[in-house]
Amino acid sequence: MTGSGEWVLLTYRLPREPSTPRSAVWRKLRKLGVVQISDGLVGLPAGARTREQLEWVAEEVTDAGGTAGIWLARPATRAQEGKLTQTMAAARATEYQALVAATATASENADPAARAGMVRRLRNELRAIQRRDYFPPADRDHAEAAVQSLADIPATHRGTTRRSFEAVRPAREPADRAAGETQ
Amino acid sequence: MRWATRQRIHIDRAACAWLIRRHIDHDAEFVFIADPADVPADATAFDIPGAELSHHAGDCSFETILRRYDLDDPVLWRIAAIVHEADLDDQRYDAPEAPGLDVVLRGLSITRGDQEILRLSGPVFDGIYEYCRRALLLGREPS
Amino acid sequence: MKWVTRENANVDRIACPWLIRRFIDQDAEFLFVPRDEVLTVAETQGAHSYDAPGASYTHRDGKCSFDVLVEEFDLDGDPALVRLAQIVHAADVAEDRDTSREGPGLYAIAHGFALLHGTADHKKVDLETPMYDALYAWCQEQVR
Repeated sequence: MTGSGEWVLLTYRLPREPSTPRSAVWRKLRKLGVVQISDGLVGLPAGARTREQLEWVAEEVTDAGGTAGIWLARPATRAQEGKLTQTMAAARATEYQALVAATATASENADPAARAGMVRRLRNELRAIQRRDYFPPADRDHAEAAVQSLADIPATHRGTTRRSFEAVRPAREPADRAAGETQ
Repeated sequence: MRWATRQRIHIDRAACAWLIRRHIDHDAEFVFIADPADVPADATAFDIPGAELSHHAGDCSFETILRRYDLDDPVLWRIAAIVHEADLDDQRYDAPEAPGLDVVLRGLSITRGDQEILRLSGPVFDGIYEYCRRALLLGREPS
Repeated sequence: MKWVTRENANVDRIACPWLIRRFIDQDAEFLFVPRDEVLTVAETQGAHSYDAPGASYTHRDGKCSFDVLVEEFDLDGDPALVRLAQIVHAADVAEDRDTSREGPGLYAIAHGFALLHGTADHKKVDLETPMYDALYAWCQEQVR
């Protein structure tokens, strides 16, 4: 997936002290999956929601005594835009890979109740990553499959729909699990 | 009275408009603006950065309006939890209904304009109110 | 064609009319009758029956009536409709409520309308049709 050409940018500047507002702002920006273009300049692909999300962060910055601005911009070359999209995709890929590793660890836990709790947490984490994923890397599908596989151990059969996207699959045979494969 | 908010409304603004019309100003008229500078002088702004009736202290605009107008109906606060999670998604509340409601509003905004979204979503929130009221009375999800 | 089901619809019996009118039978006429009249009305009025015990299109193998209609009318080649069916299924089938994260919300919306409008099933269909249109439009964006 390539960029559409238009980006919404946030310029911001916060006093170094107190540090609490700075970390709060940076946590929000991280959660939104912004790409850092330079110091105090971050961006997201432009859209009604991304623009609003950054506008609220700008508000938070000014409430905390800093300065902020929102800009709509187009990268001057496709190559420049490509760098942004690749940076974002790579950041998400790293997150998806960490999630897959976490599901592998969780699948070693023998207690079904504990695993169910882990499935819930991992699903929430997966969704959080997907919400800030604008240029999905291949790792996205692996992560979805890994979380689903974890959920299937030992699943009871539920109602199925064919060719589902969020597939609810019947319980897998122990032999499949032993093979160590995720679908 | 006139009330102004930004164009391309999503769940917080749709919910606020319903709340305003139902519980604050039955004759409310809504104006959608592109730029905060376009808010008419006689209109009360909501869900616009910088306005009083918008996001403050981690609240979404729906919650802010409840606080500013002293609306302490627990059913409205149950709805606030759903709207908050749909809009801000920060796990402040446990609101499993949030994604579905959010997605319906997103779908409406794909094909409909803002006034139409208000017209169509009003009954949805009326229903959600009834649903939440029943759930609170029963202490569980109504069946 | 006529389509008949039980009165006092919630999820499935509102979602199915939407599906039928949009994808199966544009001129569909919908009848909502007491539970034990569904099959009789189907026979005497030549109507398709759905979402009732013994009906032509109804819950089976853990699927809800919406799922069954999608399958029976070969609509599962539309990935957006399949996605929507997952949401409807989760909203309709209590034990599968959290198989789709949008399920609980649709459940709340549908039951909200039912609490407000009781057995005014045609009114519920009219009010909820834009919701299903919206959900379908969102699903189409997701699968692109």
